[in-house]
Amino acid sequence: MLGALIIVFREVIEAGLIIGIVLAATQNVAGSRKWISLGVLGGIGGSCIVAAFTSTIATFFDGFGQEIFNATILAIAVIMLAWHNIWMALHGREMAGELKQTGNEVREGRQTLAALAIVVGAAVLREGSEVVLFLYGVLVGGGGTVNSIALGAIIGLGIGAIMSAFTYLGLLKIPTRHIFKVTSWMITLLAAGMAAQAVSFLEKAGIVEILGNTAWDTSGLLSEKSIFGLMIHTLIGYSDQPSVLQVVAYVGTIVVIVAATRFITGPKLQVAV
Amino acid sequence: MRALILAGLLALTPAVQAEDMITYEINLKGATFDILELKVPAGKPFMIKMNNQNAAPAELEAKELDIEKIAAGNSSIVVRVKAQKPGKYLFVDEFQEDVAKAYVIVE
Repeated sequence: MLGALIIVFREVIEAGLIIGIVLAATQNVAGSRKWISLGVLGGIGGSCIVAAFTSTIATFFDGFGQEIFNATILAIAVIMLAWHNIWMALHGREMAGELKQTGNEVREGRQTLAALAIVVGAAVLREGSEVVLFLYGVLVGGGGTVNSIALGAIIGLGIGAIMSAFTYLGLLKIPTRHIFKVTSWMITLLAAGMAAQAVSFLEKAGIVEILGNTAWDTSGLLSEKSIFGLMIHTLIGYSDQPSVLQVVAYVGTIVVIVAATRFITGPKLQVAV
Repeated sequence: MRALILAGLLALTPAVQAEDMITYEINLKGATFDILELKVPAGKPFMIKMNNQNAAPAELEAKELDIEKIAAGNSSIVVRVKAQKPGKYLFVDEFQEDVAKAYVIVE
């Protein structure tokens, strides 16, 4: 039972933290709950499909189809997160500047919610397919332990969901005037961490080999596989043995998002602030 | 002709690199890996091919070797492992990690 609990919890907490942040970041945007729910449901549906085709995916790219698949999903999520932050910066300026809300903006607002729904869906998809396969394996394996494993899975899901809810509620405690800045940074770090992880998958697939040296090894200090390490890994992209290229991807993503939002915001907002 | 040879060599390059890397094959049946101590040389990247001979999916995991990959039931996966320092590294089927254990011995 404990094994099932830990496996399910580990997967739920990763997706759950991302959902918590996205919920907090869009708390004042009309229709955000609906879009995020759609993302979660889509992710669960996608998990089952991916789980069913695991062995097929594995045969692509000389046996590294799963790595390429994961890298692609992560890359899409990074682009969606970057787009959201840049759009929010632009939107914020126009709101502060001329207070105009055209139909066009409303439509674009829906697009950025759709982008975040994709991010949530991607997170659930990646973590969920593993849970689906694990639980399927239990069913195939049969035996009298099914009940205890189901119980473990449900408790794992519950604890994971509670911790995600704490993340969301904790973020809501932040004063309104700061929350936009805080969630923007969290989304930027989330994107940077995902970019580094995408690079790691490409390295594992043997697609990229440059700058593959280990930049540092802090696995003795804080293992990425411990529960706390895993949370920090999800939230800010902590890695205990990153390659140099992963660090470059991480820093590069932050620089690009910050530069793009600064460029869009321009000097106008600084006057407004 | 020379261009042809050059083109042929270029086309072969990735294949040669992949062949340079030794692939070690292990089988998982029930909760047992057929090789309990897989010996590999230090300082060289390598690949592990795991044949999952169970109907249930398995997840090959070695925390210290940065391996984490799912194999569907009755199917095979390959993983690339970076060059390692000498030592004894645990790997498991994460879905039954209490019992399905073995080691990579880097020497």
